[in-house]
Amino acid sequence: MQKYKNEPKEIKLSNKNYYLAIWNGLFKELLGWSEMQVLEWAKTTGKLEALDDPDNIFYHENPIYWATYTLIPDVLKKDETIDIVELEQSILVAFKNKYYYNFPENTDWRPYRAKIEQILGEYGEHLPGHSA
Amino acid sequence: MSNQEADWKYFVHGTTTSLWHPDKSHWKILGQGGGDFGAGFYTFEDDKWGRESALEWAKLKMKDRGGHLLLVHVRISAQEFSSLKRKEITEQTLDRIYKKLYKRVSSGYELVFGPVGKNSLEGKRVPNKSLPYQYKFEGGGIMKLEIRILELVNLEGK
Repeated sequence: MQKYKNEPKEIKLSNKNYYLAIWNGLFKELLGWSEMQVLEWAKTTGKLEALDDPDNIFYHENPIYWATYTLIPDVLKKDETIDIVELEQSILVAFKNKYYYNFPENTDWRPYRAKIEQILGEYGEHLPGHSA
Repeated sequence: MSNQEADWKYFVHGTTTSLWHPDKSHWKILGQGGGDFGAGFYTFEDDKWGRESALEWAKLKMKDRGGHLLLVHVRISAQEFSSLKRKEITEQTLDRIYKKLYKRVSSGYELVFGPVGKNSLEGKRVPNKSLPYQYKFEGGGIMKLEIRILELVNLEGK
């Protein structure tokens, strides 16, 4: 089996800034969060620490993957009749297009907001700031 | 290695009790996951490096989703393992395969194995060379796995 534990690191530390930029844009549009709130979320969920290690398995997934669970309203997370894994996958699929693993930092997240609203609407829920 | 051990291949999957719990029949392998090689059940070889890597993954999921750390240790007979319809992904083919399968679609193979990917800033899927190979079981490959141990991991003292 091929093993190469000691080869040089490849990911640039600036990848951390990329993840933070994507989360800032995404959460601002979908949850109305400030950059401080994003930073606090990243800190309390261990993401900030993981971002500092370019070899961390965290980088196996893109910033969207690590954000999807947070997009699910708490009331749904607490509902034991709902398969949260499936719901999370549905939300993730809403982002899966040609940009999925390299979204531009200046992505317009409004179309994604509409998709997530539609998914959550099937459960009788919505994102903050919904105006229906 | 004893003759008995040589009859089996051992793998480990890192998760949390919030994702894998008895209330929703998650004591069996559903293969709900997605990843570099499409839909299926992702594991590492159950050696020290594989267990460390599975645990690192589980820790991240625990911080995100809550629950307790859980390592799912599985095995498959060496004979069945060798007969699985398989595909090895190389450093050179990782990006192409990922782009083809990332939407959690079936690969058509019972076993796909190769490097763990990460995204480069240039938009390529590249190997994370600090991690061991991952082994993804799918369809009939999952059916041949046997859950050996469900290990709740307590980080205190580790």
